[in-house]
Amino acid sequence: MAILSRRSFLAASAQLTAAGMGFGRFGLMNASAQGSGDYRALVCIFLFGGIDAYNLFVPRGNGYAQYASLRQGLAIAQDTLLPVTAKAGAEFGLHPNLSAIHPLFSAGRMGILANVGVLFRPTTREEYRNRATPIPTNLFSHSDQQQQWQTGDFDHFRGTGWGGRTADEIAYMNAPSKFPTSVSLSGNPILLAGSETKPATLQAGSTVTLTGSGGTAFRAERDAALQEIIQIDSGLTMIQRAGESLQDGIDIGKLIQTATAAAPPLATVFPNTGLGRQLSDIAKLIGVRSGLGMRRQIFFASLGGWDTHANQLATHVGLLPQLAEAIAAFYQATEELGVANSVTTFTESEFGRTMQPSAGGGTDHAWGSHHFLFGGAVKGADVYGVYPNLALGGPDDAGSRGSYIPTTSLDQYGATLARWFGVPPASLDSIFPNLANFAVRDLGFLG
Amino acid sequence: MDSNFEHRRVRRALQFLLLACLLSAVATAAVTREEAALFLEEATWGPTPELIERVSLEGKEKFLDEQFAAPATLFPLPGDTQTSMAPYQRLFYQYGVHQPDQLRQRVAFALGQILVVSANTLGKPQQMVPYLNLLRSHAFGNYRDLLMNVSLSPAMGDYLDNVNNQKPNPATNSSANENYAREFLQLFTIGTELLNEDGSVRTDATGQPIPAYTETTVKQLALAFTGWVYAPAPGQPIKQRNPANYSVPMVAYEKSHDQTQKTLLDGYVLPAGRTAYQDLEDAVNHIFNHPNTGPFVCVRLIRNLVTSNPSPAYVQRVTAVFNNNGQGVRGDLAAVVRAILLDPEASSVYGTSEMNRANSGHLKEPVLYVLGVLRALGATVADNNNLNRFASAMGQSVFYPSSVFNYYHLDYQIGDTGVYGPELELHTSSAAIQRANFIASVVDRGLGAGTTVSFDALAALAADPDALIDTLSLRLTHGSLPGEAKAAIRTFVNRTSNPTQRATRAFYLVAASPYGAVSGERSAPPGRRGGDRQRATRMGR
Repeated sequence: MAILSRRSFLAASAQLTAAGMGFGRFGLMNASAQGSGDYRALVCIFLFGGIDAYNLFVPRGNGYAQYASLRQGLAIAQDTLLPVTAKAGAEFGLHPNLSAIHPLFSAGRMGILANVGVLFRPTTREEYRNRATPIPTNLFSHSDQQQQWQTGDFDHFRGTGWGGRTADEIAYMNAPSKFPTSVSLSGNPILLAGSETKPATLQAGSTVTLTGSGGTAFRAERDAALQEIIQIDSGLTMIQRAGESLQDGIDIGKLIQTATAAAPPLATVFPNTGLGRQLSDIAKLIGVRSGLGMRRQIFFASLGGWDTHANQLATHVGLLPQLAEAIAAFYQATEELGVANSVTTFTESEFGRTMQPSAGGGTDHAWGSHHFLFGGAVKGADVYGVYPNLALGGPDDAGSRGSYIPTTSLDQYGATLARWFGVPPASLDSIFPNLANFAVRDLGFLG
Repeated sequence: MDSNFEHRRVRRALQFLLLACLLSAVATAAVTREEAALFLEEATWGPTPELIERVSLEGKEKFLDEQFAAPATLFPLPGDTQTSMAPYQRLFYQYGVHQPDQLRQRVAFALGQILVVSANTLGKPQQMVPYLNLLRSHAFGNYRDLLMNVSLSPAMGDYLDNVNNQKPNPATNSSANENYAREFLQLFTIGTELLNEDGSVRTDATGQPIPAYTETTVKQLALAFTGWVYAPAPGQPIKQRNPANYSVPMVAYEKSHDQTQKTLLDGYVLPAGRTAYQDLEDAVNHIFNHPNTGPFVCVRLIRNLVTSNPSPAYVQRVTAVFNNNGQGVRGDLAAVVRAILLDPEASSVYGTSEMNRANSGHLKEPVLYVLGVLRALGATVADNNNLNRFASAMGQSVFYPSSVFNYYHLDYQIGDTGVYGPELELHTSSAAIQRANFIASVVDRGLGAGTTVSFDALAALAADPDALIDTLSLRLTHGSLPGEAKAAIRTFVNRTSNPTQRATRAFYLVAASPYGAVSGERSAPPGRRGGDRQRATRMGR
């Protein structure tokens, strides 16, 4: 479970008192103003499989013809696109099956970050092709790129994720709560693994309580005996890990049970889909943030099925409404809870997909992709980053099929989120090891 | 003097007796019950009381010989009207508890986690069942033949989009589909980095791993794999698009096959102008013969059956058998499985000096956990059982891995420890609670229709709590339960005199404890508990 990181706390305090800055408006005053309403949450929705965002966010107007000629049978008809226009004037459209989130864009609650991906430093096509600059290892591999998007480490594995390192920095703000700073509703993601914090790993729609017949007194005795066995130091990794998961479940379950006992139900209705259930549980946890004693939280949810090597059009018709409706409901729930300006939801996915289609009506693994931001703190109704030149074999293509070299890096993306969340600027470089290679450290999409 | 002489004589006699005992032990290959139980954790869906006795008396070799000879339990082929995989999930558990071809079922399930297809996409039994039977039929065959059969399987063709894959078509700006080619390299054969025979990663002069293939290899292999379509109905012509047909292998449609020259690994060339089958077979043979394939596949099988963290020497010994079964044959899976299970690192209850005992064993995946508990209790499971819902709540719905990367990543590492623990990727706090609650359901006889559990036999031991606890420890933890745990259980057991309640109390605490959740971990020899604890992995917390 998350514990107060003494090292982080001391480091942050020293910085605050020495520099009188660092946290910006989250200074010492807020740190001691428990219950003042100071609350922020980051919610990552990981789109497993590598989403073809080039068909979710499509150029309209002048750019459409090139897109359509490259995409051929996979092109989304221009007149069906849901119009979005960047503040600078560039015209785009959302996939018609994203209609549930289209109003969020118009209302300024959604932003789009174009062609972001894993990068050591700004990289040109020539540098990539000549290996004249470091390139993330095993580009185009699902597992490697999922890991890199979550860790920010592109040529080695140090066992922590950028979300976990962010939680390490910020966990002291949740003291003395024993509830973990990060919570996954989808497995054990490396994103949330920290050096000093680790996430609660919950399953959507499932309670974390030991059950069984025999009455309360019997079960209390039984559970005490079980925990006595768990506490034995076996010296064996597998035994200790299995015991830790079980003990965490018991402890976290009790905290949630206590906090939710008197919580009013949410009026917002979530779609009964995998992502809908995950985001619904996240909303419920946010609803009891005071009871849990939380001021900073990082959540992880996911939706898979995006590895559309074939039959992409039909697959998107099935999946995109699930994605959009769950996000729209979640945003509505944050409004209901009065925390819409305090919760920022963002997407990740291991890679984008080739502009050139594959046999079977799909696309293959590529590199950069577009991602989406939601929440009242997002400076919405705008497009951030740089939309690439789509020409196959052109200056932004790593190969010959439209595998676009990211024009914005994951480090810039994550650092913008982490800074809003409250990480001192000086700590961003240890969380995002390649941030220093980019001139812009804050992409400006959060207010 | 005389007494010294007597002493020597007695010692001689004792030595002779000891030697005789050892010789007779070798002759009958008898092993301790603990070692038999450990072996059965690795070679079956879990020890049963009967098998522990048999293996401890007759030895492991005899058991393995019987297992290799046992007829395969195959799934009945579905009729045209069946639409759900649920009946096959039920059969999976029924077969797992009762059918004698235990090792074949285990190995087929392990192979199915390397050569993955999923009912997430292939939701109908007509799609999945022939593939499941293919894995069972070939579990003790040759890995090359399995790769060929998998490559021609319409289920795999559908799952990784190689069915109807075509050569590039400039008119539609369409390229050959790379999905099967990429995962064939990354997941089925060689992996992303060059390996040594002991499974360790080869590095270049600067200490960096060496990529096993490039994007160009993927694209070239994708071209080699083009031209396969569903087999048409008898008498119908082969076309680019035929009705889906999962019951027989895919067939070549040469017009869609790319006939250009392709270059694969290490400059190996598939010449221009050849048929789809020639390219496929030569590509499969070429990659099967790559030095990575042995260690890559062997490490994955060892992780599934024995331990998440085999020593390099163990991997090397098994790889050597993969590379040559002793008769010049490469890829003999029966020989590989025998080498995995009879290796000292799989066999020794207290571990060997070359292994890192602290990181031994592996978390039982939910399916193995559920089946192991039921087999230990001698449960009866019929074809209307509801067991998959329990494994599913623990994170593993059988036949439904989330992607081609399996139910869990086979190279998942535990946080920042550098220790592998693939099954732990599934082991969320929720999943851990669900395991304990499954055990509570067993105790409450609440497993639903089709599963019958009795505690009568255990209750008969309840007058002697130590015997009861030792029996459960043997069946569920190959006797590895430490003394402190036994003491805690004894205290809880002794608070009632009701024999059935004693039995269920002891069962709950052994099965729901971390010791019941893990397979194949090696405790220190008695009296040395914790002796090498300093080698245990740091627990990041």
